Amino acid sequence: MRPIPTALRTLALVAFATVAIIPVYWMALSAFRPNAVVMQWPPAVLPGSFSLEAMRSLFAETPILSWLATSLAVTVGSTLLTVTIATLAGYALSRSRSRLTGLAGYAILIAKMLPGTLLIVPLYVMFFQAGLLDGRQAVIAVILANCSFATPFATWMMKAFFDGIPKEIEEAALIDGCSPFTAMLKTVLPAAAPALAAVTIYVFIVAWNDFLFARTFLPGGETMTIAAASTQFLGEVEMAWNKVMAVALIAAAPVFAMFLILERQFVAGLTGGTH
Amino acid sequence: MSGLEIEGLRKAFGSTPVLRDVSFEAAAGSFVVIVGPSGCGKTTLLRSLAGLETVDRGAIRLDGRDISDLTPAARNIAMVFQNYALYPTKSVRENIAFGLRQRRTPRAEIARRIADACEALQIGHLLDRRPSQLSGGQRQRVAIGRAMVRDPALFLFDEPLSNLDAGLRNDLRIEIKRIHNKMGTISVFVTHDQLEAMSLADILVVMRDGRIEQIGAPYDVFRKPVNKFVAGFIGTPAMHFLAAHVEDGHAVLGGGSRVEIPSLAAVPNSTLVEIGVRPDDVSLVGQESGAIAGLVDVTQELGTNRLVRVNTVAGELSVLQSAHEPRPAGPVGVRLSPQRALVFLRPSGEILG
Repeated sequence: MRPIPTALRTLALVAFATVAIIPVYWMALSAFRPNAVVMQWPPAVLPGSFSLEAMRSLFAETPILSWLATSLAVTVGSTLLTVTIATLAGYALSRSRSRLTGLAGYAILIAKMLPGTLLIVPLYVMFFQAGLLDGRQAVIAVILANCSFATPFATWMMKAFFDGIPKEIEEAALIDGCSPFTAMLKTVLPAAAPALAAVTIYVFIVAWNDFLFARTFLPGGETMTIAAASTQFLGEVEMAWNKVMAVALIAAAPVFAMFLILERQFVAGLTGGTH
Repeated sequence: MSGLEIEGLRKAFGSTPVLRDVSFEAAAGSFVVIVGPSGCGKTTLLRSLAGLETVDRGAIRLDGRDISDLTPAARNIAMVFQNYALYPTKSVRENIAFGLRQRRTPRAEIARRIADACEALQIGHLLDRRPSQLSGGQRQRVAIGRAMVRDPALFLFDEPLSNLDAGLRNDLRIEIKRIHNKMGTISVFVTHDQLEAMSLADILVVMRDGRIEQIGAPYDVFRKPVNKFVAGFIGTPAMHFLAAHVEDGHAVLGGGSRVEIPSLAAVPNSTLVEIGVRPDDVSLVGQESGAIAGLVDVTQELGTNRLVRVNTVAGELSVLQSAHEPRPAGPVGVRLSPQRALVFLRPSGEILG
């Protein structure tokens, strides 16, 4: 096979990168423009007409700080709960020799194939009957919903990584004086740090970006996540795209920051697990 | 009694029995080597001693205390694994100290024991490295050090040398034996390499299909195997077996050659037997009468010795001869040493006499 020329490869990569970066560029541009400029035809592709109008009105007229706080509560709650469950379940799936656990593993995998929209009605009924949908405690409902959605994949990610860690390491720890649980905590879990980072980022993104569950279960007003709140500027009379983009920019910032910090672990966690 | 007593161990995985009534004893200070082909249950036996497997029936007593139902942590044992099983995120120092820390050993005592282990194993310069920065031989040294500092009543080795290359294996074998002698505890060492087993053992335990075939000092097992399996498994180069039947105190081999063997004197005629001969118990002679006629097949130089494979009328044989002798070729005669030849009954494989 002839090697692909470097120039051609660079060209292809530039093309892909452009496609990926254009929406982000457009979001950042639109967030700092008057809505009239955003909506004009033909669009103003190059930077210009800078305006803080959208940002100012967001912080002055909407409970955006409360939305951010709600998002943070939902995301942190979902991440802690899901990572804990996925770690323990993934460990059990990886180490158990019982056939029942194997079956449970496949049941979890099948659950992963269900779309969120299918879960929403049964979840709504359950949360309603549990009284979780009144007021601020609806945040718990969203956390549980996000957890139920993210756990299957997170569990399998953890299982795949645990499979690559020899069980003799825990056995050595058992002999060295640990209980089965502390053996896992002190020897296997530190070794699984890349997988933990990857799963944490995955759940963080799922929960932070969740639109469906927040929109369905949260009462609205102040108690709304920032991802779900963005669309409320798209009304029948006004299409305030600059405000939508301003919210989107604020919403994207934490995820972006998280990626910058944990990128290396994330890649190692995704590609690791098989030795 | 002080020492290790194993009584009637049984264990099955599902419906497959892995240990069928395994019993043996080892006095304090002995080096026990369990050897056998893969799947014979030797690793399961070792893991049962460690408490990593539960047994279905039987008892394990260590220094008079029944440890069969204790957790691995409560058994006062240490184990060295085939794949080293070092804690990947801890430094060598933390690896060695981990078990002592778990047992809340005082800091100064931990430091003293680590220093001892470093001296015995020459791993002092590795203390601040991670396992991934070590070679295989260094990793296994660290694993041995980790077991040593615990000062256990029982050392368990699960094929610790099989991932290492031949030279290192030899060095570490000597070191393991030296450490064992120094510590004076009981060691149980599992291997499938019978040469390793012979060279390390005070007590050699040969296993097959979940049963102990023979227990004894290495030389006794080598010279007086109880059956054809043990005879064929122990010893390098391996023993050869020639089918024969008995006639008037002689073994009549294929091709009609007759060998008088003392132990056949009282055996009824036409009993079916197999004659076991080790390569150092046969010699090459000319094509003289009384010798088994054969044709040299392949010769292998081993340094001091030479191994000659001969196709004879009675079957295949290997002959070990001094490398000083001229290299044989073509038609030859082979003479057995009747005193050394072992006789096994067919088809049971039990030894005669």
